[in-house]
Amino acid sequence: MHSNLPSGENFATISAFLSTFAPEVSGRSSDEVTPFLKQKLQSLAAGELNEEEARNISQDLLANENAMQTLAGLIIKHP
Amino acid sequence: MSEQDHDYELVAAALQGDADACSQISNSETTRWLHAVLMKRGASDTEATDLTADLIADCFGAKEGKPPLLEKYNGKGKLRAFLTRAAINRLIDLKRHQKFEGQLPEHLRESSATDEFDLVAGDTVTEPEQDHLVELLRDALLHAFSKCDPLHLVLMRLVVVHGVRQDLVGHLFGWSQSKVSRAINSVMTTIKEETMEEILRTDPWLDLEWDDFLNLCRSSTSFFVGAPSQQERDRSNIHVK
Repeated sequence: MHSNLPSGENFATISAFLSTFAPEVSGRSSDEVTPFLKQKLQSLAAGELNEEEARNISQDLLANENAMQTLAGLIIKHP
Repeated sequence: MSEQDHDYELVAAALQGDADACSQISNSETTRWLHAVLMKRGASDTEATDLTADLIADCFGAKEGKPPLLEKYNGKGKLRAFLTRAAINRLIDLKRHQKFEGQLPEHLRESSATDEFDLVAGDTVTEPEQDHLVELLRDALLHAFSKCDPLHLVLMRLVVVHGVRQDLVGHLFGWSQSKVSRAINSVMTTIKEETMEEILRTDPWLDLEWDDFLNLCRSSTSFFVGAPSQQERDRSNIHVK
C-alpha cells in the first residue's frame, strides 16, 4: 500500500512505528468525525477547498485516524 | 525455517538451560559484532567492551530481581536486531548518565545515591531496560512532523498509508501528479533532516545514519508487538518461568 514513491516505503516504516504508540502519544486518535469536520472533508474531496482552506483542517485530520480514513474513502469513491 | 524462527527456538533452548544454545548466542562472533555496533554508534572501546559483557551476562542471568533479558525476545524480529536495540539502549543510558553526572555539583559525584540524586537522575539501577532508544526515535519523529507542511503530510498519508492514487489526490487542487509527487518527497526530506537534527541535539554523541534510524524503527515495531502468546509458546514448547 505504500506506493512506488522512493519516499513511500520510508514513510510507511515511520507510520508503522508511530502507530504502535497510544493515540495520545502518537497524536492520532480514533475519535468520531464531527459533523462539521465531515462536511469539510466532503468539500475537500469534491475539490471545493483551496490549499489554504485544506491546510487549515490538516491538523485535525492528522490528529484523527478516522477522519483520514473518511477522507480517503470519499476521494476514492468520488474521483 | 526462517532466521527468526531459528532464533526463537535458540533463545527458548537457552532459557531452558541448553548449554550449546547459550554458547551459540554468546559466542565471540556475537560479542565482536555487538562491540562493533556500539563503537560505530559512538561508544569508546572500553565502553563497548563493558556494555557488551554486561549485556551478554544479562541475557541469561536474572539480575536484581529482573528476569533474563532474553525472556523479552518475542521472535518477531531477528535476535541480532533485538540485541542491537538492547545494546544501543544501554549506550544511550550510559551516555546520558555520564552527561548528567558531569552536570552535577562536585560533592554529589561518585557519592552514594541520595534522595536528591535519585529524584533528579532517574533510576537507572532499577530500570536499566527503559527504552530510551524508542523514546528517542519517537520524539525525534514527532518533532520532525511538527516542522512539516501539514497539508503535504496529509497528502503523504493519503497516498502511502491509505493507498489513494496520486492522480486522485492531485484532483483535489488541480495539481499534476508530478506536483503531488514533489510535495510528498519534500515532506520526506523535511522529516529526514529534522529527525536527524533533533537526534543530534538530544544525543550529540550518537552516531546514527538515516538508514540506521529506519532499521531501528522497523525492529522496534517488530519487538513492540509484544511477547508471544501462551499458544505460541506452547507451539514452540517454551515454558519460560
